[in-house]
Amino acid sequence: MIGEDRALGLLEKTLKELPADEGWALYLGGAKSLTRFANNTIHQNVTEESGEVILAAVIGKRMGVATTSILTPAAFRRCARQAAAMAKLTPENPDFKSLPGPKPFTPMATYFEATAACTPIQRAEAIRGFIDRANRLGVTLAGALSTGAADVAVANTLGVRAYQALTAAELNIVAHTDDSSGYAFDLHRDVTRLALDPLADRAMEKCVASRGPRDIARGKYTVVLEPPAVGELLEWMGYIGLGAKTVEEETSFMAGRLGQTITGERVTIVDDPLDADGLAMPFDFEGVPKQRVPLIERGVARAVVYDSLSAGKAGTESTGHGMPPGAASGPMPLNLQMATGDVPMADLVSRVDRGLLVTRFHYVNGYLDTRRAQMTGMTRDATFWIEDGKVRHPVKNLRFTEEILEAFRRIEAVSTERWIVSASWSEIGAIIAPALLIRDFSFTGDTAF
Amino acid sequence: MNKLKATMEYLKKRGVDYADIRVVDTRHQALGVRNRQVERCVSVEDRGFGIRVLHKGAWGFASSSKVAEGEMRRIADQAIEVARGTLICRGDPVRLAPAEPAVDSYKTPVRKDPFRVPLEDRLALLLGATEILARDPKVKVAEGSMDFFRTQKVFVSTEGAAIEQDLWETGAGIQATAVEGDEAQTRSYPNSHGGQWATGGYELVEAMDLAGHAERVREETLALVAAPNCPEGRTTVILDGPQLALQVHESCGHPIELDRVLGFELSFAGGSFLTLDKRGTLQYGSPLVHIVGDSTIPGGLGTYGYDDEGVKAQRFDIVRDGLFVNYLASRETAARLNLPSNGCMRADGWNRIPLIRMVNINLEPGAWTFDDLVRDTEDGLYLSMNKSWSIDQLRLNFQFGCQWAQEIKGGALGRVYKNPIYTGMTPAFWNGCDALCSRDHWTVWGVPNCGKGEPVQTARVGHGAAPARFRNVQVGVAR
Repeated sequence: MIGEDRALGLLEKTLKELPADEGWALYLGGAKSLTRFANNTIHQNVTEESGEVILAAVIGKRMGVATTSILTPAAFRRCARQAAAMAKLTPENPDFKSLPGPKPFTPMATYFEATAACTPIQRAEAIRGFIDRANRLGVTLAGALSTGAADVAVANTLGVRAYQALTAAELNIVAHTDDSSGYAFDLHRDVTRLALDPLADRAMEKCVASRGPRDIARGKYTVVLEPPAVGELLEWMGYIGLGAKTVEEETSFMAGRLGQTITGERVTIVDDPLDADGLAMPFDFEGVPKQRVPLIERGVARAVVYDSLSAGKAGTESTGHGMPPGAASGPMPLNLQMATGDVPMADLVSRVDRGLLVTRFHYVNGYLDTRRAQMTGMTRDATFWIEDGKVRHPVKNLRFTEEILEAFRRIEAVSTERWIVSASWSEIGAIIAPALLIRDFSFTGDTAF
Repeated sequence: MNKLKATMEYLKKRGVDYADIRVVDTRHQALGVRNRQVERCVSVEDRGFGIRVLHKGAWGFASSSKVAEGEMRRIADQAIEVARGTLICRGDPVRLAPAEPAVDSYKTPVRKDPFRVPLEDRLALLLGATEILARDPKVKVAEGSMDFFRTQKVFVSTEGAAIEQDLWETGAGIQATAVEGDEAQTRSYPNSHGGQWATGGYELVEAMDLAGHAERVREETLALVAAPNCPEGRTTVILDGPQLALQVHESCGHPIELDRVLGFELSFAGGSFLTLDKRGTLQYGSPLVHIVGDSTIPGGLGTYGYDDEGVKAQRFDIVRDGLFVNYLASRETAARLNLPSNGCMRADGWNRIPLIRMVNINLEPGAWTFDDLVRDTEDGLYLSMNKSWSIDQLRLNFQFGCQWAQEIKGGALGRVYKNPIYTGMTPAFWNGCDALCSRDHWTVWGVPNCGKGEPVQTARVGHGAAPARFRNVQVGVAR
């Protein structure tokens, strides 16, 4: 960690070197550590210290981007020259209006010393605790416990100056035997708030409960999807359809449908970067204050997220969802949340006559048909048969293929609880999801385990 | 080099069992155009080093972006401290299979340095090709990309290895997406998901002739939005090279990673159905199926001189006459089978440990010409280029969506279908392979975005494949 003064000072120096009309600079750096375990032993253990400067030069309506992790004055000058040279050689982009100007953002506590100071010994001791329990139970654990601290600084020649120190701690754990497995996950900026032992116990309980899975035929079933399964579906919705770029390209399920009912009325999805229960963050990579954006409200498509470029093109304002310069994704919702309902999670199963309880999905892919949000994936880490309102026995894994918006029309209940769930961008945002009870969820394939 | 050797001497004095250091210096340029605009024009310069230590049989790894001798000492100490954490919960001490420490260098053969090709020429090529794609109002996205990597690595170990490598990778492609009503359809060239990738220089881009294929890509995209959905049923399929490359990747390349087999990846990517008892006993595919691992083949995206443990690149059987015979291994995992490593440890940069990754995992060609193979097929489907991919965590049940399908009836290609999906179980699928096209139709396809590990790493890997025929495959669209 280099701190606010050094990070912003570095960016200001770099911007001064930049022979351009406008300039935008990012510093991303810090220290991250991860202790990984498998077969009830720690098998990989890593730590990293890094820092990089990303510089965008704007000349007229042209942008060139250069990045360096070599943090020397000579490298910054080279980076500045490179960014400007690339800008000069690209054609003008008529959609480019301007880099954003400074706006105040909400201060928030995103740095916790306990996380930043967590040592390899501390992580190992925590892991040994639940491995000892796993050995007594006769199950095997695999997973990763990570802690890290980062500086994020943004500056531009229009006066944006933004800095935030961040920490994040994450535990991902799979318990398994030769024919069963269970899973748990948690993520928090403060490592002391991770309930490590209860998480490990949850994974182990699911693992023990799912021993001896029975065959199950493919078909349509009423399902209870636990929050990690719902989270995977939300993550893919974010990729394929909730950013302005995918709407502009007309590949999104939201394209041409804002204001229309596109899914069930029990569905409300927002992107809320200011919710402290998620990985809250006050500003985006352009230094624009992040906003809470209602994306789908009671089944009605309301909005998508914007960065400065897409907002300028659409004649609106950035919602604070800009990614680093040169990112191919366009604006991304990194703090997706689905609204909770009125049925405790423990009661969802009791409402099912015949159906399935799904812990999570694996290898979901949402590119089958993005206009219909058609996705496929496998169940994983404990799937159970429910009959007459009770979990009866574990079953082998199934493949689903569903148009998710249509499936969400068949939501019969949403849990009162919501959990933070794993996303591929867990360092810079988080997904929070409830559990769902859905009728006639389509399982189109099966497997041998 | 001397600083690195000095750091290894320091670690030897500190009593480690083994250590290695990699300094990695990467230059990357990414160019992207979309709808007549330059969307990405990015230059990346990244340098740092990582130190692995084996201390009392336990691994530790530490890395830093500050390449300096004093920093190397500090990071070396940190790596030992991390290893002490591992010791708290270590299993059996790690053993490494022996490997001859090499003192050598390797450079990718490159005819044209892409970084010296004027930027305006490279952008003009992309803009020109995508301009042709965009010549129809139904085409909503006309995009093209080029990526160039030059990675210079120095590897030194406490065993005396000292290896310098200079690796060049190039990728490029174009893609059109047409929208009509509720339909959005995409067609790509030379491949989807970022185009074709290989080791080499700008000569690779020139050989692609992106502009020369743009009109066909556009017309095929328009044909797709107007086409009916692919019919369902069990049928014969011929997969084109790009789709077959991804089939090999997902259903063979991943389950043969020995660390997956040994449970190292269960918390993230999963395990493997190719358990140790299946080596030498499982009929993975039909007797026509021969799959090799080859990190030496010229131009392959998984081609290099030495892996990131200093083991020399090599070629080895994986599936021979359909029988599964070998894994991708590291020194640590190979030692558990009393075998030598076959050099498959690769790290995504200086700040990641090497993991077992695919190299070039190649399905050997057969004898058929493509035209003869179609003529020989009475009833079936030709499926081209990947659109979606999903497989279970042991690599058995898979489902792939392709961009393009064509009916085969009476030995001739016929009507076009959209949204083809096919699904199956890995061994049954490969045992249904009854014909492969010849080397004339064989290309080492690059897959630039393979993810694995915690923290996650991206590997760029290759798969040689020619079109091939598979019997009794479930094809379906779930609506």
